[in-house]
Amino acid sequence: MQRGSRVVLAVMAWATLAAAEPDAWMDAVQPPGEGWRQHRQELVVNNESEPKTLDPHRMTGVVEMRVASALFEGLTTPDPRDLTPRPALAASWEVDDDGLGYTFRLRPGLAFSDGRPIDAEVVRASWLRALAPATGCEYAELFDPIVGAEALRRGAAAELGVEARDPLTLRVRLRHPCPWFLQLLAMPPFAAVPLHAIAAHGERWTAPGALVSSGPFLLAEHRPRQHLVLVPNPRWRAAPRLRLTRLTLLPIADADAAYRLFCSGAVHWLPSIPLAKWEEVRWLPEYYIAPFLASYFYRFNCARPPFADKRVRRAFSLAIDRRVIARQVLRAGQVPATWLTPPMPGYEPPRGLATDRARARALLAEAGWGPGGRPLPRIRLLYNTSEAHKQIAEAVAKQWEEALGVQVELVNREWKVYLAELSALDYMVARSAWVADYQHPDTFLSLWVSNGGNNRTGWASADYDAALQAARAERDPRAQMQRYRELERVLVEDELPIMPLYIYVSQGLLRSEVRGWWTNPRDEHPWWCLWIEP
Amino acid sequence: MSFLARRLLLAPCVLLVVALATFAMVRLAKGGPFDAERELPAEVKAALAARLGWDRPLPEQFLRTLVGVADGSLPTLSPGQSVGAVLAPRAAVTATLGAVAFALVVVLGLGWAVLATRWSGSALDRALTHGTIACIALPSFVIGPVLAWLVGVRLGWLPPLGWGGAAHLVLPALTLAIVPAARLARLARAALAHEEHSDHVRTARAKGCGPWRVLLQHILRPALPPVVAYLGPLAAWLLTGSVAVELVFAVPGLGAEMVQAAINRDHNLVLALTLWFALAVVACNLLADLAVAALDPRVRLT
Repeated sequence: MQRGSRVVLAVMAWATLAAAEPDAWMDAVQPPGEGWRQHRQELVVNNESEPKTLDPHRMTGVVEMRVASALFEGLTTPDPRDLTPRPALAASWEVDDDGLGYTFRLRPGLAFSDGRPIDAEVVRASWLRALAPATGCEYAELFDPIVGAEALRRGAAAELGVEARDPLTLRVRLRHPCPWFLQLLAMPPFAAVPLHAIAAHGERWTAPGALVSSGPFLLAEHRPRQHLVLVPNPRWRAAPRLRLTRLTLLPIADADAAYRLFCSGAVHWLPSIPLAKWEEVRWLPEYYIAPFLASYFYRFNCARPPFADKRVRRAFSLAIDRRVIARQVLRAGQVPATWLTPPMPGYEPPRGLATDRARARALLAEAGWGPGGRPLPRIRLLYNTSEAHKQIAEAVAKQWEEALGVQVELVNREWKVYLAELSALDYMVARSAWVADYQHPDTFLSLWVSNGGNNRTGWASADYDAALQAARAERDPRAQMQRYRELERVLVEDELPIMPLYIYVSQGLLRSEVRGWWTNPRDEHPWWCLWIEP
Repeated sequence: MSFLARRLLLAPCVLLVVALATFAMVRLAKGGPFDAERELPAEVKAALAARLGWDRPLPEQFLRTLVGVADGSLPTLSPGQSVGAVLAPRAAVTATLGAVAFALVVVLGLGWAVLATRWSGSALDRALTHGTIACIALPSFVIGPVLAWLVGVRLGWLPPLGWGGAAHLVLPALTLAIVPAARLARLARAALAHEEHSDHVRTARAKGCGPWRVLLQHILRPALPPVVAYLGPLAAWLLTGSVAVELVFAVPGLGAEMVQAAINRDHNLVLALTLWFALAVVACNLLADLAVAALDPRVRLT
């Protein structure tokens, strides 16, 4: 045998091995013994609300995501321990040297729950459906790194940079290097959906009996506002690994009612706790708390005085002692923050502006407001209806009144009115929050591009936009994180269109017999690896 | 024109006015159905609005809405779910719970009043006065969680929440019934006391009728009209569902659906629910009027 063909053979053998064993990592998160077999593998969790839809392309939040992740799968899936993207529909992938081209090799023999094959063309067609404006996919902007995606989702004609080269090979071209691209592929908008079933049933394709799934579970029963029952999908790619035989999701919205049900022993997991009972709940053995990739901040309306002047914005931020808010108002271990980005692997956020009330008053005077200048108008602080938002707003207002001598008016608005006022820049200061879409500072720092749909501060900076493009184009991971750090420094130390307050935690109640459950920073717990063993 | 014919002709007019007012109000309310934490491009909002028919002229929208509510085909914000598909199971749940609560109100309220009248001035009668005031002062969002915790969690006798079997009905029905039962007991007790001293009762007693016969035949029947007049609006209230009770016991009824629809700005669903509620009020009040007339021949419906 010639040397060349030996090399080819070795490469082929390696590739076959990699493709054959893409699930070896799953062993580490599965039950070690056979003890689980002696227990009923029926899990009941509170999903906190009735999902608005079961269509993974139309999901609007975590409630829909919990259902979608059981029913549908994309090219990758998150590792429950640290959310690293692992092979799902794709067995393996290669990234071009320029970081812009991805070649995915799909597993052979993939099928929907009705037996129809899942191939590269199905994935491509699913993505096109997610991007079509008629679908109304709220998360369609996550496709933006792909060539042509942004134009398509805005209804313009464009060629999507996705090509099904053969049934098992999908080629994707990106506009810029995107270290978080593989994470996106694990999210429901990127899932493979049964287009044949959608064509047959139209809008009613998510009803029990009609719903065809690509993920680990099937929809067995759906009684809106009562429960949603899922059972294993025998055609799932790793069906023998499933331990749960039944997964019931309850839509109980009232946290106190859900807590009573938990106390009666009828539910295994509550993803949140009644805040009023925190002192009681925190001592229960079932209580858990973990860092969460979400940030709480106030937006300043930069289009109108007095917050059009960045000195005023800095003064208002400098006047706040976040530790008081975290310790006396929130109390559950939230991290007081003068920066925006929660802890991310390989990223060190800037320090932000520490409390300095003398400097705050000086900056305000320098900007011509307060004693010796124009009197500051009443500051209207907008928040949406919630006891926690109200308490935080009261604490912030008190500190501003003490430190800067301003009058603060709290403006409480119902959710949709709040959103409308936020979008229309009809506010002075507004309570806000953002949950990471992916584990990369980009998810927080790309919000502030000029005229971005989620900016909603009226702040625009061509320098910031250019620096973001440069950061995204940077190939060296360390240098890239440095660039993002500089972006965030501009945001939280210099320009301050927003005023960070704290980093969230996730807290809930979990019965000890639920295994295969890891705390992770997105509070995301893939159903396929859970099992019950007291 | 007879009373019934006039009321039946008036009902559609009432519903039309309600529909028009609701249609205008939901569209004038600040904040739209597609305002979201994550800004949607204008193209997507337009596509979603077109799916619901909200891109058409307002008069056409209004007519389509009326037809769509009537046959249940009007789309809601949830893809593939018409108002009929959403509301029919919710209305069935609320009607079941409402019927049980209604029966409880009648049995508890009327029963208590009759017993108190039978032993007028006794400890039982005094207990009625004080007990009903206490019950009226307790709102359902206080009674509900206490009952759920005590009976559902501590004692474990009944499920603390949920929907399915007869056991699930007890606590929410009781929570719903307590306040109206107390009101009815006071109302009925007052009406019975009024009749107790009338001439025909004295005559019946003089003829040697036993105390139970006097009470049930000669006092109760003429005392019923005010009771029935109270039960009409009560039935309408029970048919529209109570938000507090539905949240506490996770009952999949109409009340919580209405609140959620309003929060989501699901215009079509809000309109369908409002019309359903209006229909319930009109129908129950009409039935109560007819029942009062049947019970008391002195009442002339004109």
